[in-house]
Amino acid sequence: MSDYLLSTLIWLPIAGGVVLLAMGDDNDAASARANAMRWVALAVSVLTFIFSIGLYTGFDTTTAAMQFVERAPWVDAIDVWYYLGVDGLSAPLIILTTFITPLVVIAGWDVIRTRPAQYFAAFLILEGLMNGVFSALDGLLFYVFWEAMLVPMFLIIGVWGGARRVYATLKFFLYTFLGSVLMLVAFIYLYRVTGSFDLFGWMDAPLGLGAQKLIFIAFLLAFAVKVPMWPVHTWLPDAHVEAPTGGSVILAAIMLKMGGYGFVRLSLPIVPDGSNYFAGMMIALSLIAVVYIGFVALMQKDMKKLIAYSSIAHMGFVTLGFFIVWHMAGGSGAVLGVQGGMVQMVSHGLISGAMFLCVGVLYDRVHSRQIADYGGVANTMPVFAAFMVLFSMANAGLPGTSGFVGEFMVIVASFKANPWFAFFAATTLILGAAYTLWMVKRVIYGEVANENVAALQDLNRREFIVLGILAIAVLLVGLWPAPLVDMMNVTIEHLVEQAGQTKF
Amino acid sequence: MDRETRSHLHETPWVVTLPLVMLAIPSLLIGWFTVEPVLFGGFFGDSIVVDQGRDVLARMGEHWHGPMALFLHAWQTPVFWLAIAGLVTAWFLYLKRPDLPAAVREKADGLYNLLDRKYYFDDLYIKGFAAWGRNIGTFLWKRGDQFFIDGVLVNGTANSVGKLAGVMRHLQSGYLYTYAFAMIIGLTMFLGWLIWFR
Repeated sequence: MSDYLLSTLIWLPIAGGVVLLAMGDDNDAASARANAMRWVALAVSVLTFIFSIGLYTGFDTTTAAMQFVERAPWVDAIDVWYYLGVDGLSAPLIILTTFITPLVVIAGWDVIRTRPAQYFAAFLILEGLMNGVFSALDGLLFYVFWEAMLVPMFLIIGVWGGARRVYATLKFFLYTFLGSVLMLVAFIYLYRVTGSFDLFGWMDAPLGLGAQKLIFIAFLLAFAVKVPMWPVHTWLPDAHVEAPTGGSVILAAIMLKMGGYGFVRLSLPIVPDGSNYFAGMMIALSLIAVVYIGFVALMQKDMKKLIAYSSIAHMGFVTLGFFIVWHMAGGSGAVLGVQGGMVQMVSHGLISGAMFLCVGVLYDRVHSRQIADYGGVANTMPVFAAFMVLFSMANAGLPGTSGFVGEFMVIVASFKANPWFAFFAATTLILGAAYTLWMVKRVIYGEVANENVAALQDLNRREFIVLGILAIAVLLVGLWPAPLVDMMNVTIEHLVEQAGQTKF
Repeated sequence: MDRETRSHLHETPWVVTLPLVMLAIPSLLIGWFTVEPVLFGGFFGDSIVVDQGRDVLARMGEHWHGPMALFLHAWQTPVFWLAIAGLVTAWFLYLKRPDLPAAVREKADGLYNLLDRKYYFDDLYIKGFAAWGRNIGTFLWKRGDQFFIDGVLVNGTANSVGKLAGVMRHLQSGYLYTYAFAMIIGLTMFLGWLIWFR
């Protein structure tokens, strides 16, 4: 089994999705057949998660080498391989993906009334493709998964989205596609230089500074859009607002991580000198994201937009952590920065997913995302209010929750690089608390605002399970991050070493 | 405080008072007996490590002579007497001579307001930092995100492509004579360049 574990994690959910599509949709969402399809979707996603635990239990934390490697020729003519493997950077993200997907399936259980089978199929296929991105070690394979991933997400927002879903979908697609195409150009150049699509061949290939700069920019456009970094972030709030709850959760929890993952998997090791050259700019953009977007988030009237902007600010920490590497003399500080960025990615996956689910719970009842339409929700939904406050605190970076760990590591590392970096990064502690808690205050606390709020029913069992599992995960990573950090440690030390070596 | 509120005020019932007393006595005793081991003794063992030369507590410990000495020493410090002065002032102004605060207020309006508004710190935070934070947020959102990035950069690019195409498409009229005429002009210019400028 473990010989083909990664393939299983990719193809099992995709096969499940295809089965669901083949079963076809039942227009009566309450029928026995529609119900059976939900159970199939849940079973496949839970099974995938159970398999992915094998990645953790079988993971060797003492080596930076790729593990669970699978290698088979795919297109001989241009030396493309079906080449999979994971290290400490990708394994946690795969587990995050397989962990979030069942929750999304449960969250959509009886909320999705139109074409439920296609909805769940889209998520399962998306899960497989995302696992593919995280485990691909062949450039072209990576690119195929990377682009294929857009299709299910395009459908999820475009079919099950809100009123302006077509606008949001096109914006999402054009933005991300434009960036990715330039990445393909860089891949083709690297193929021409090295004669293969092997990522490790690209890492070892000598490249001049000029070429490295151009490749870095091409990568940057692909990854910066995904992260998203300022100023190519404006697709995200629109996409989130229009996406169904499950789409928002996957978008925030996993798809944004693709950008961060791209930087550490491709940019840093393949073009270290190019990355070094642009590190100052990357740090500046990251800090702009933290400060500028923090202020913008403060003024949002739509809860989903607020959380979307907060995601951009939090992802600024990820890129900050990755690119301060060149501002220190290597060693533990640089490792801490990258580690902080990685922990922040996992933590943000849990917290932003939970926050979007919370908004989804309210939206399912009141059909509004506007902060002004709520107030005093704690009076009618005390259990929900407790969860929402917990996740909000985590979003604001409260110690004891996962939100604190990554941010703190990055702030400490950036202080070593330059106290001014830490100064601007630390504004998130104020701004994050301000925009999150102000929203909580207006939505959760106070007098019951209107009859919609007065008529609210507290969480049902299904919602309680989903939020409860996420709450446990948020607290677990917050109180005991050691297993996660241990998993990444050796890989990150190796990465920092690679990033510090010049290639020409 | 109005009469209604005042009528609700009364001493705590014994179910509250008794536990408070029972908590107060041990807290005094515990403080008395544990202050030394906790602050200067080995209560925490190796759990807390302090950098040599920066051990502030140890320096303080050199002047430590036990809780009784601390208790007696407190009477000699200005801090203690300032606290007592605060108590006395409050008692004098609000119990002994309740007419005085109003008189003080009339005489020293500015000072009264300064104290009443807590040195205006709340105003600084609410009208200053919070209001400015919201203004900056609105500016960056409306002007930065919506106007500049989405309006000028993203839609602006799309619009200028559209406008350029709107102009360029007039060249493609579809009439044969337009194209023929353009070819003749081009040919004339090319021949002219060949003859006179080569």
